[in-house]
Amino acid sequence: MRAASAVVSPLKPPGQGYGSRDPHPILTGRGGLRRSYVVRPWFLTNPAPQANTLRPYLDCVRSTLDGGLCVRNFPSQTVERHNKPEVEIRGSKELLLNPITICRTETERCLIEPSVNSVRVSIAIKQADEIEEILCHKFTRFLMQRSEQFIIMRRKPTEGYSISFLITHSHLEKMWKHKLVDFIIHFMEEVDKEISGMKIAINARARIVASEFMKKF
Amino acid sequence: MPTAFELIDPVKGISCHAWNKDKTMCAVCPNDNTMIIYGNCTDPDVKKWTKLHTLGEHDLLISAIDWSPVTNLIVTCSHDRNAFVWAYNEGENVWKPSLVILRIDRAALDVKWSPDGKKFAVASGAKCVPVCYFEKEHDWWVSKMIKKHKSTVLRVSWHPNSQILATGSSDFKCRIFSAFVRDLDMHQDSLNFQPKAFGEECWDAGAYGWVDSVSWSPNGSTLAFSGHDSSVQFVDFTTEGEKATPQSIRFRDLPIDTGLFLSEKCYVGCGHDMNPLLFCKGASGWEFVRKLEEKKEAKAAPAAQKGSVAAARALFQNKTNKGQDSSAKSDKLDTTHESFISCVQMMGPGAFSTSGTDGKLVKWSMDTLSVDMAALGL
Repeated sequence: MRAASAVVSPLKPPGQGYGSRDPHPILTGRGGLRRSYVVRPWFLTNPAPQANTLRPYLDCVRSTLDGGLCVRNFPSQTVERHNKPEVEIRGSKELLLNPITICRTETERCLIEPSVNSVRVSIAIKQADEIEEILCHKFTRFLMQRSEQFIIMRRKPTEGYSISFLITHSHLEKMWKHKLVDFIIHFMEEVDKEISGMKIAINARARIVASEFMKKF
Repeated sequence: MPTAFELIDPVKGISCHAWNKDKTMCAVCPNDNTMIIYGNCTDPDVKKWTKLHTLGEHDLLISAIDWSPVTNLIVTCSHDRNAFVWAYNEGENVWKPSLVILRIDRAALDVKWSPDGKKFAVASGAKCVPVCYFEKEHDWWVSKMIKKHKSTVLRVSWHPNSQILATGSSDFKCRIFSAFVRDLDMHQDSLNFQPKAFGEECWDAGAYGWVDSVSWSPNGSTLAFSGHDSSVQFVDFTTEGEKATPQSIRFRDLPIDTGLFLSEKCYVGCGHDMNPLLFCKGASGWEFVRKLEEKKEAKAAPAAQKGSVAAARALFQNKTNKGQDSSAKSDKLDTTHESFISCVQMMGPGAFSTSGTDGKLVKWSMDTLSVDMAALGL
């Protein structure tokens, strides 16, 4: 987990948390402000967690993406006649905003790094045991090899994460913002199901194979 | 009700637009290197708008267009570092371009004619602002530089006296400069500031985010600038010069990208919220009033039928209709614009037009929006 220099809790009822009048912390710039925020859903500090804990995690990602995707067409100020995602180039410090980490558990987290013309979203998928680690690795590799079909997917994940998306202003010009956010949320919902489904399938197959093998003796 | 005109394919979008003096013609950039001039723009049916000219002289995306009501000249600036001044030749029915050497080595982002139509200012990624004016003896637009920015200049706005220029930059600052050119403007009018030479900074103030928009009120007494931290700040220069302090308003919605004053007491900010935000000046200063488009009421859910079977059925019906994810939004947004608003232009008293990357040009008229008109001071 990233070093927590500030913990804000976005899911408190309005009027608490970072204040109903204040904008989302993702919109405030770096000038004199904290380097990095770690956003924890409230249930992590709550002694009695709710049954469906995925929902507040995804809602938090959704609202943070909604604020983070306020990007504009911004041609490079360092290279002539170029237009590059500033979050990847990192040429000027003032064009990057505070990155936000949203954690559900130690292993399941989401890093959102906004900048003036692009946003990078990195997702760490839950990996409870070795089988899940292998499955997650194979599955994300399969997707990332076909990343051009997913338009916003990066070919390589950022360090420490399973899969990354890079959304630039030109994607938002061609696609609806709310649908893009829906896609990422849907992906996060489905990927866990997909991997646990594959794990069950592997276990079931292993059981059949083992029992077939044992019949010989 | 705002009226939307679907001019350009939503996949392409509109990067900027501008109106002629009597609002019958409209210059639109369809998010590429061409500018299209439409005629018959007062017609409520967009199919009856006529495409008069398609002008392609730029290499890259046109980032801003401005049409001077005084001289009837159009100026365009582009990411290819150039600006063109277009003059209409009535005899041949063509727009003749003349290239302006801006002397910048990065993209140009915004351009504005001065209200008297003699000069124009260009915001650029080269961290400077060229102010250009026409030199008769050379038959040539010359540019003078305003420097002193630490990052890209995103927006420029002229004071109505055409001698003071406000800029907003991604170094989190809004600045005011003297743009007084001795040969052009005979007598210097420096408001309440110390008289300064061209390019000297008169005033600055900071925000906690990139300053996306700056605009002067119609008589030049108030300056508004908005930061990317969802704030808008109003500065009153009627009595004070250098010492004027901004009144900062923070709001819950997404940041303003561009804005304008409809009157001395009424400011409209448009941007990432896709819904213009209205600010008015009351007795205790400026305050946020409302979003211009109110949420359409969701269709009233069918009243719960009597009988438990029907109620249970309705419950499951509801679940299948909405899917598992009840918080997922429907396809349609509540707002007229479906992407962020990148350009706003004045249309007349209490009327303005907006455009965005969804390819729509939307005309707004305050008297049809059930706003308290007395508070606007139009």
